[in-house]
Amino acid sequence: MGSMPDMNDVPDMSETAESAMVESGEAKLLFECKLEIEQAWMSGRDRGAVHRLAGAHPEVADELYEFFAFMVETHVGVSHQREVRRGSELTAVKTAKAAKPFLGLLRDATGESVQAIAAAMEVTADFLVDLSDNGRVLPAKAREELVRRARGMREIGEGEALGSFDVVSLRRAASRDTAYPVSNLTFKELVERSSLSPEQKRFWTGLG
Amino acid sequence: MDSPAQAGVIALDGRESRLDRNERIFQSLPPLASPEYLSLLKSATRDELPAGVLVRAYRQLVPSHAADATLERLVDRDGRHGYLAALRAAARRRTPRLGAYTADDLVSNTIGEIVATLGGAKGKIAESAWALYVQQCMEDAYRELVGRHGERLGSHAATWREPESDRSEPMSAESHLAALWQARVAPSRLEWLEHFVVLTFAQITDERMRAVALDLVSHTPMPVSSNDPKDPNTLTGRFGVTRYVIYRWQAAARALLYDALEAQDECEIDMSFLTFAA
Repeated sequence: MGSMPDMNDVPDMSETAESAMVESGEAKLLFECKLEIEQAWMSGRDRGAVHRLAGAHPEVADELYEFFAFMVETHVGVSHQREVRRGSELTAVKTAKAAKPFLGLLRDATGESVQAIAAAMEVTADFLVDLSDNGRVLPAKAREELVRRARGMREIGEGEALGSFDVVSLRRAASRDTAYPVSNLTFKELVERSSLSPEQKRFWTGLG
Repeated sequence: MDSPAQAGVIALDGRESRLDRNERIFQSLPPLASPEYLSLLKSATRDELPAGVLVRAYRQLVPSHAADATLERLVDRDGRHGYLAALRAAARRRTPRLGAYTADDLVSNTIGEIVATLGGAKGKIAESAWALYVQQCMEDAYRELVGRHGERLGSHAATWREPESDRSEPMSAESHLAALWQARVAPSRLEWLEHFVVLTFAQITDERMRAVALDLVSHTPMPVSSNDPKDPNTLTGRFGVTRYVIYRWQAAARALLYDALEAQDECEIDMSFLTFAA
């Protein structure tokens, strides 16, 4: 095996914990390799530990790469993001008539006026209305920031809130006989035409 | 001192390690068991309260409402925060389709194992290696369900690891990764991305896994399988493994690429092509 973790540098590891989790020699090897992979990855000191250990122990390389995928999923939540997005899309499609755009969702959740909600979220009311009406042009980072701020006011579902940015166009399309014309509006233009302060505009365009 | 919310945002922008970020977030928490802490448990996103932070808080709390609320958020029964998203996916792959239990049973028993052990010696490692801890709990729960040697699995049951099960699992869409990035990544970034992918996958030590990874991002990906298990024009035929092994290698390749892209700061890339794959 490559260099095993220095136990002096691993305050959370204990022989008690290890012995409680592993039994056989092979299981012990796998456990130690996986531990090294995750702790090296968490500390940022050796993101490539999985390659090194898989090379040193080809007989368990498959398990180590499988664990790496499990670890990234666990910490980053790629599949969770995927499920949230898919859930949002499905929810938006299945309940297009009942679903509300972002601002409608917030008004229902808080019972507050647009001005009060905008103030609580540290944006202007015109910006909030405009972005809610044109939610589809919002980049992911802007959506996440808005949902984060909204969740500071009131507990709302993350998936539902993220999905609400796609609701407006679906509802409008459903009510028309012909396809809704494609808008050329960009997020940057949406920010620029708002009454946000220059500093706020810089912040929001930085998320684009 | 940064609020946990601010800390999360800063961490996303910097190159701070996850361990350091967890430490900073933990230090910025309101007093454990305070109303502010309980409120934070309800409102924070996952980036603002990573699993390692919750584990550490839980292990420091005495039995109380705050401890219960911390554990409840961590085990994430409704899947809202995603701390156990990988477990749920792994359980779906592991569970015999014809067996006496379901993926939900395995997830539920794994959560039971977490609840039973997180506060004790076994739970200590979860502070710094949450994924390993969860995987070990799943293995223990699995053995508890099926027996140490699978004696309670049932003769008619088959798991995804077994060749005879290589029939009715839905096909993966992983092969379309190259098409996905063509659709989502700015054209000016594509050349850089293709070089980056090749360099990233070149580090994979297993030759067959490396070939499958490169096929995953090929513009002409090879079919995973066909009705002929020895068909040389499929990945299963070429490498002599079941398609579940191929899927596992593809998942590893996707994770390696996601991680490498997240770590680099040469080029800004829309990584949604990875979160939409599979």
